[in-house]
Amino acid sequence: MTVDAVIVGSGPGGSTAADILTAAGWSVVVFEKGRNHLLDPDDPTRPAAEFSNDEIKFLHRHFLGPDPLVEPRTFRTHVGDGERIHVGEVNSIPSTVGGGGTHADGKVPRFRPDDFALASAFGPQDGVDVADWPLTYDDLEPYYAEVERSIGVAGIAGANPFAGPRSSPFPMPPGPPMYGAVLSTAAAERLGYHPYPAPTAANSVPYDGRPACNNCGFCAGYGCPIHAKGDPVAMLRRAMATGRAELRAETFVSAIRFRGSRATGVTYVGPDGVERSMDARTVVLAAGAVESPRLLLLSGVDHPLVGRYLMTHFQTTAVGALPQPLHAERGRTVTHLHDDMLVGDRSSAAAASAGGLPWMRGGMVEHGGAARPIMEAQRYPWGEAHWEGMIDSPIRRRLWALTMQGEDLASPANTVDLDPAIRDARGFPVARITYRPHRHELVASAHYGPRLTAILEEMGAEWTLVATSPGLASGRGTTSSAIPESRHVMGTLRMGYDPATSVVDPAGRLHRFDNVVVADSSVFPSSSGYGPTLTLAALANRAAHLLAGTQPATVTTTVSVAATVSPGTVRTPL
Amino acid sequence: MLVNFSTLVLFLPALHQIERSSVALADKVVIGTVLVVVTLLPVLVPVLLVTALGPRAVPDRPPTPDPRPPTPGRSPTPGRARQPVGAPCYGDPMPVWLTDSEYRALSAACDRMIPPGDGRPGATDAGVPDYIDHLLGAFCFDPPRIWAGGPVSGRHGGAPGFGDFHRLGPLDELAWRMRIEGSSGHPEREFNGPVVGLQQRFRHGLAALGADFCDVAPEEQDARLRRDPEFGALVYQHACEGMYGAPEYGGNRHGAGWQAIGFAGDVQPRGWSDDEVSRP
Repeated sequence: MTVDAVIVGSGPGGSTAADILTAAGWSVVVFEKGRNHLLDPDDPTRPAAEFSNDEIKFLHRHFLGPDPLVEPRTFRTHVGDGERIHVGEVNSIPSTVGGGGTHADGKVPRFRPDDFALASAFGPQDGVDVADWPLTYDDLEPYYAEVERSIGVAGIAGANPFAGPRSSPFPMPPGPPMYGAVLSTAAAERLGYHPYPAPTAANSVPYDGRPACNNCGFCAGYGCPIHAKGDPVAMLRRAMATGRAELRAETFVSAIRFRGSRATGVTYVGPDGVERSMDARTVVLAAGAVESPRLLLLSGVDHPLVGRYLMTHFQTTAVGALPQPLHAERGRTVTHLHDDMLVGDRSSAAAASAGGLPWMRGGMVEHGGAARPIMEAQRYPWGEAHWEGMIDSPIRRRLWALTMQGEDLASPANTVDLDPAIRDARGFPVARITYRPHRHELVASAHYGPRLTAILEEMGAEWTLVATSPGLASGRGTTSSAIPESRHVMGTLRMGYDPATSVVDPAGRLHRFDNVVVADSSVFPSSSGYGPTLTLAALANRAAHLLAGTQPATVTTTVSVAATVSPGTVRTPL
Repeated sequence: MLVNFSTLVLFLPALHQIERSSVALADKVVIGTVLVVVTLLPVLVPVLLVTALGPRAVPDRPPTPDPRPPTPGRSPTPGRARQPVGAPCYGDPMPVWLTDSEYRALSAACDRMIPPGDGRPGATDAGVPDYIDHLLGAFCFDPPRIWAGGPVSGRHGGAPGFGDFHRLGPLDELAWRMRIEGSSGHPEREFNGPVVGLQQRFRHGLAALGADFCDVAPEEQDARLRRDPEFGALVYQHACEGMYGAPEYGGNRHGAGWQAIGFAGDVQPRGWSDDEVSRP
């Protein structure tokens, strides 16, 4: 059997490709190495009922995978560390049907026009390879619009003064602001910033056959029990409904097979542990910016740029404890953003100059907070101090956080390659991440950290502190804090015109094998300071349309805004 | 009683070989003893287990705690009556995997970490030792008690689904057996070297607290818990999970942990109203 396309990975990229290709009449097989907790196994056009408000299951027992005992990664900050300084969990995105779309709290902003022209707009920096994208914001805009409708994104056009132009409104109005965000956005505005309701892939009204979000609060890190998050359940369900898609969970693609300049199919290991192969006319690689280069390396593709330029947002998080409870356990984890610190101003330009940089950019700032009681309790000492902490509860009840997702410039020293010794349980070499931040990220973080703190103080915080990921204090030998935790991983299969400086072409095809299309954030030439999901889905959507010879819909669909069901009378918690 | 015939077949020739070998007599005795023990292992292990643990070594009911609020006048399930799978019970002290003395030491340790008082439940009141015991004995159950079901618990409406634990896939089972049991010499668990499991870490750590741990003064208990910070952190990490995790995992009995800190727990399908999200 030869299928039209094998799609490796069922996250936002693979699901988007499956949706577009099946709509165009292609037959596809979607391989996912993790388990299926997302779609009903008896009727894969319907969501499953396996997600729940369960901190143990999602945050402490790896329900969404990968389990680092059987699928570890390794880490070192640079080659001078030796082969590795850590084995286990390294900035992993869920390994499950739906991929990163299952655990994300669904903040899906678009990139800005200047993000696509970083080299032209800002110029080079020492030690990094600043590049333009081989496409512009305007090129991508129709695809952004289509994936926003496809996923179901809630937001308000015009609320963010720094946003690029839009061809159509958001499909839904934004959901309710968290109480803490009401306070922090007012404080930010008083200090001259421009916060706006975060474009969010969680329904604010019933949409596409799925209910409105009911604010349960188990959002970041959790699968949505009512499937109000559209990403990527919406795209996968549509693909399955065509009858032309087959989903194979717990199936690890171990190699892409090539003949000459073409891929002929894939080799895979199913849940029974047996290795088999499947022929395909096209291979869509959508395993994420760590696993996609790993698979090419496992397949023997040895281009020197495969795995190079790994980027992960440098996170600067300011937290502050307010005197009053903020009940941040309710709502969508993060409800507002501001972009002022990505755009920059005179003071950031001066700080860059003082730090020896020609220019610098911060990132979007997320206004949010939502610690859960187990995670909170584990941070207090045991004994009587346990109760002092839990009753006063600065971390869970009174904490507010501003997290800047700082732009990470593409360093050739930051890479994904195959670990020379460590294996996964199936016997394949695991991905080794070599990463440390560049001066740019450190200077930007040092500049913006105190400015984030100032917003919290304006908000009324009793105390504040700033933390970063990766940590700043980590030296050699200290491993955990040196490992970035952003879950935003990008680069590693850079997109460009020139095969000497990039791995994939502007259509997302490998330069060397033109029937292999990369449909995830591996292709990003730069990281911007926004969450990567919508942009990678838009790129996957575009790549799939180019494959199928179809166009994104340009007609704006009118969404009927049904009245939300009012929650019943207030019930006393437990 | 089952006798392992395959090892018995090898027993006599092996004994003969040892007898004829040139090693010292003392070594011959040691080797012979080892051979006898290894041969009789399939018989000895169940006997020893039953002797040490009593019939609890093979649990006959899944101790799913009652997800409902406590009903006045209802007492813990008496005795060890067999109940159908999934039936609620009160998880009264009945270790699944720990021995009775380990269970008592663990209870005392957890109560030093999350102490009772001021009207608040201590760790043991809230079933924390049961939570840890159920994790260590997760594979005594089918499906193993690793991931509670979904989508709702029934505490805020809807049909209770948390009690139906998920089946594990082959890779999940490998991972959780490695985490709980360690590699224990299984080659398929040692692809990156040996792994020490939670069972071993708890068993060794509890033994190191001393046989008199339950009887010494609280200050002495604290001192012993601080003597091995790694083990102390392991116990506290799991004590927090047992105190504030979903009751279906064996701890947080009747939501006692959540009540003590004013946390609503899982709130689906009710959720929160827009006003509850946005207003003070």
